Amino acid sequence: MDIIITMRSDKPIYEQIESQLKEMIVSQKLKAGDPIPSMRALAKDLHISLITVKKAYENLSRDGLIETIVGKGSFVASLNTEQLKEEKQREIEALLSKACQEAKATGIRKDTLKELIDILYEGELL
Amino acid sequence: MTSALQVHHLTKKYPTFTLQDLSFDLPQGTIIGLIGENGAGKSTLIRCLLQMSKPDQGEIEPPIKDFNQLSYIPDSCVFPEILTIEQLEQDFASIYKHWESAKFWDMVKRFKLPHKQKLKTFSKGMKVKLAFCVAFSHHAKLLILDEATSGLDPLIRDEILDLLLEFIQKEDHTVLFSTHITSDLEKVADYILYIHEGKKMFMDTKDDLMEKYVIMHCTQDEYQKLPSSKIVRVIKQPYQMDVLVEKKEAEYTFDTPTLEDLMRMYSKGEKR
Repeated sequence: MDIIITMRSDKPIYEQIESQLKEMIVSQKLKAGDPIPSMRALAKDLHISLITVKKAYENLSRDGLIETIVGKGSFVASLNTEQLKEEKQREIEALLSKACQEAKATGIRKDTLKELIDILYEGELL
Repeated sequence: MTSALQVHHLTKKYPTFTLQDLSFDLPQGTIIGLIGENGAGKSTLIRCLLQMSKPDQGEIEPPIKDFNQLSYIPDSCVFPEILTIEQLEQDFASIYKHWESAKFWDMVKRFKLPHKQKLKTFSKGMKVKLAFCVAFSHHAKLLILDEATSGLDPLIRDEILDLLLEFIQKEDHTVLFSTHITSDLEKVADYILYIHEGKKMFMDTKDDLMEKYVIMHCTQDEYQKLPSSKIVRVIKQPYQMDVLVEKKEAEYTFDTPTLEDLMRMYSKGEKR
């Protein structure tokens, strides 16, 4: 497993950890039931504070992506296809939102944007 | 969260200095950084925790009576320097209730410390590493460091931060780390307790402190327009006003503060 963190990002460290683990879980690189490092072990290996890791894990737990069992450790939760789809949809919404903002800022019309999506979806520009 | 220690209204008076009404919890299983200027009261506080000084008022719960559970690493070497590690180890075996000889020698080997050389020939870094070998080998649950890493090079300090993270792998192990080297705390501390002129200025998680505030740099005019409720602290500089505000109030030019910046704003800054 690779987790890259940088002190020089605008993104707080707990968010960096959270989004990388989330990506691995949603893309199924980490499967349901796979163990993930204990909070303390991860803090030690990343050379950061326990509480930072704890925050990331608490958020992932809250979002139903991991489960922590006292005395056993933390594991990837079993996500059904619906949940995975929802997660992906959320990410795509965020990306589209950015595309819309940039389009508006540079005066590109909604119709042009919609056309672009059609072309890209059909794979014609790739 | 469970507390390793709770301090209630601790007061200690000296002729020129008073530690006033300190109350805080040390959450178990974490690293708590203790910061403050020289003379702020950090060492006085630690002496009270170690029962080396008796407070005039207040309580420490539970009182640290069993030194088997405690490891204290101060600025200077506490071991008799005419002894060798081999000789010291025999003393420890008889002093401590649960002395883990194998673990001790393992760590000594890991740090490549010589067994038969007198401690007075050791560098400061070697002496501190020895102190850690001892700390890990007698079932200590609370580790108190008082400027233990000052004067050490950045590489050794980094190794020591690793050791602290290793120490808290067990959930009932806690570290109180008093240091001027705030950059070390920015890396691994869970909580920061800031003492200034004998009083507790704040105790918060390091992440919240680093994310909650910004230092705004603005002109005199811009500063005058700020409502007082937004201003946590302000310092007047020759060409700008430095204003500590919550992140959500940030405007103009601003920087994320380091722990050092926060200390500077709190100790030298004023409320409007």
